[in-house]
Amino acid sequence: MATLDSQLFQLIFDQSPISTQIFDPSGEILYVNRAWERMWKVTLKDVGSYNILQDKQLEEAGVMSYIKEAFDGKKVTIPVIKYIPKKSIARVAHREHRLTKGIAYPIRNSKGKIQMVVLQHEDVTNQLVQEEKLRESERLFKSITDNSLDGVRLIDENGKILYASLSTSRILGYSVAEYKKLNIIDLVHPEDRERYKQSMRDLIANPKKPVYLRYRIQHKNGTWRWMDGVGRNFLNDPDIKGMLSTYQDITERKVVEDRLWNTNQTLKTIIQASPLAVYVVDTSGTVIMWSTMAEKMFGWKAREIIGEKLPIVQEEMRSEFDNHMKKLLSGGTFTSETVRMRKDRTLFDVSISAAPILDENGKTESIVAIAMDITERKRLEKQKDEFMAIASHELKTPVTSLKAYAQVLEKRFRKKGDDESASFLQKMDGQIDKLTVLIRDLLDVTKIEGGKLQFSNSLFAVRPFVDEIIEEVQRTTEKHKIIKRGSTDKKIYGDRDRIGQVLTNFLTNAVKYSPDSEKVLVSVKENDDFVKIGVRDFGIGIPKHAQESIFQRFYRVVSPHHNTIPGIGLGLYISAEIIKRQGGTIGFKSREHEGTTFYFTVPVSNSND
Amino acid sequence: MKGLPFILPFPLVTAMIRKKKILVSEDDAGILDVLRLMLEDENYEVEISRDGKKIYQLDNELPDLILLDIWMSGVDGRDLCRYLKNNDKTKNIPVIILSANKDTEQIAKEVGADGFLQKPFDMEELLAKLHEHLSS
Repeated sequence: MATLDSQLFQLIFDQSPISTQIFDPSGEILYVNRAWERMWKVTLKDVGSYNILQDKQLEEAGVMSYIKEAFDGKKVTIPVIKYIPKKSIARVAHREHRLTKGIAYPIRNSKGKIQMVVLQHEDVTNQLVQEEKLRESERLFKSITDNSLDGVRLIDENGKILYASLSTSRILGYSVAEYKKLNIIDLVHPEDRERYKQSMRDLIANPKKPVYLRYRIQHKNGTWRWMDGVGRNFLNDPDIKGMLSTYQDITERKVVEDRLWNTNQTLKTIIQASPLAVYVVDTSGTVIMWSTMAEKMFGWKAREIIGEKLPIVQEEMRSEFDNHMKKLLSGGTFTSETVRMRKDRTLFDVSISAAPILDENGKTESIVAIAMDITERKRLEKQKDEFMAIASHELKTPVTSLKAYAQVLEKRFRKKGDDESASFLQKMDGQIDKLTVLIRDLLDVTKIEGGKLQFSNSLFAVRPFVDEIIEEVQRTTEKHKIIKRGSTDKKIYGDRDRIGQVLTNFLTNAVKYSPDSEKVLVSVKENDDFVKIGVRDFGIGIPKHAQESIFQRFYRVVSPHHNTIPGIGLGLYISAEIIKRQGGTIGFKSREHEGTTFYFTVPVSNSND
Repeated sequence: MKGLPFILPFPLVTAMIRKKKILVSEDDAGILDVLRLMLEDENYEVEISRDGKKIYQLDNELPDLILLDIWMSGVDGRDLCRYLKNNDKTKNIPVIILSANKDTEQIAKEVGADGFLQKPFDMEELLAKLHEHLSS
């Protein structure tokens, strides 16, 4: 030191980047360098007098003892404190504070006496803030990994677990400590192990590329859990030195996914294997799905038709189609037998059912349609109709002979006075009539279904018509008395035989279904527009549950006590069709065990013939 | 016949007792047989035709009435009826059409038939119809 020029020393002292203060042995400040002035933004001049040993702030910060040691002759390191100059130095205007740590040491003279004390400190504010930030982000990372649904682990290139997030215990049941003793490869399902190892090799071979893997891993409780994982290679990162893997338990999701996949596959298979054509159109009628069977049925390939307006509706069917669309768009469904067009413009019979696919707001999003080619069924129906027509015609021929023979014989026996034989033949004739009605009904049903029930209308008076029918039916029953109430002079323009068929049906039913009663009432009423004819019996009645179906084809009332009443269940079905076609209404009132009233109305003719 | 005066001139007798002649055209043998029986029991003279061809050959000894099955194999009953009604000689012979199909009633009217009877028919109804058309 002695060799150094004091000016040079001062220069070095002033240029030093380390903030330095020099105190006399009593603690009074002697000198500060530039670095100090820069750090605290104040000059020594401004500081004026300052005695460090009386700085209360240092006392409060708990470092005075260190400083005193320096004044007692020791070299000390002073821990970090926060220092606010304003608190201790009156003439400092600013309030800026710094975090500092420093060293203090005495300088002795040649006799060993303390001459002055040097305090050098550095500003660690920024450094500490950085460290705090780092710690904060570490805490954050740990909190994220620990609380995340995902598990995070770090393994070395052999699979040894180096780090594991707290979430490990939730996902796999192991505590972090237990887990870190394990090798991950041992936990992977034997069937997935080779793939897992391969993914590790891939990671090592290509460190930049993350590897995705779905695998099973064993939970501490022994169950296998499905994981979706992604691994990254940080083996060469000096701060990490491992392979980082994040993974997610997808077992539940996979079950749902598998089920969904199965459902999808099942649906696809059903659509593929189905003899029905399936297609989907959007709300504008543009095709968005077209099944293989739709290709076969309509001739258009999916690739030709998807994105196009549905081309299978011929011009004549357009308004029907538009009506259906309207219904579907408002959330309704429909099933209809109609005619559609193939690609080659030929038409064919088809049964179409369609339903809207609704979005979560219940709005129609698209429409799924299922079509069945019913050409063959229609052909068979036609064949059946023709067969029925021929069969019933052929049945009628021998019945005609039979009836005629019975009547000829009856008449001959009567002439001879053999009334007993004659009555047998009369009964036979009655049975033949029943057979005739059955044949007629079968033929009528065939006609109704083929839309071929014809009417031969003429004008006829109601009164003799009703009397005639009553007389005919009265002949078939000895037990029941058919009583007429009311009448009319009105005339009807209609098919006398067909309307007669209805009244006969009502009367024979009334007789048939009231085996324990002795009368049947026929009422005839009129108003300006209609004649209403009712037939009331006092028989078994129609049970409530059966009332809805009574006019259905082949429907028969069967009660446990009366299950022997014969019939094939066509009469009322045909009657309803006849009355409907004649512009009238048909109906009934019934109470079980009390009886039934069937009635029909037909419009009267107001012409004055 | 027993009650008739013996002295009546023969032609007059035949005129009075001449049976009405009914031509039955029907292709089913069973129905044909019983119709003949039925009508003969009622004192009609019955002439039969299995295929309707006799109708085209009618010249002398015209029948008083024709019962015509409209659906015969090989011959169309509608043509037969039209032929009868368009022919001056035969147009006044009442024709009653027989059919198992009720819808034929309309056709019967269209081809000019005088009556229609649906099979199986009631004997009394047939006899009433014959009486109606033969007495007019």
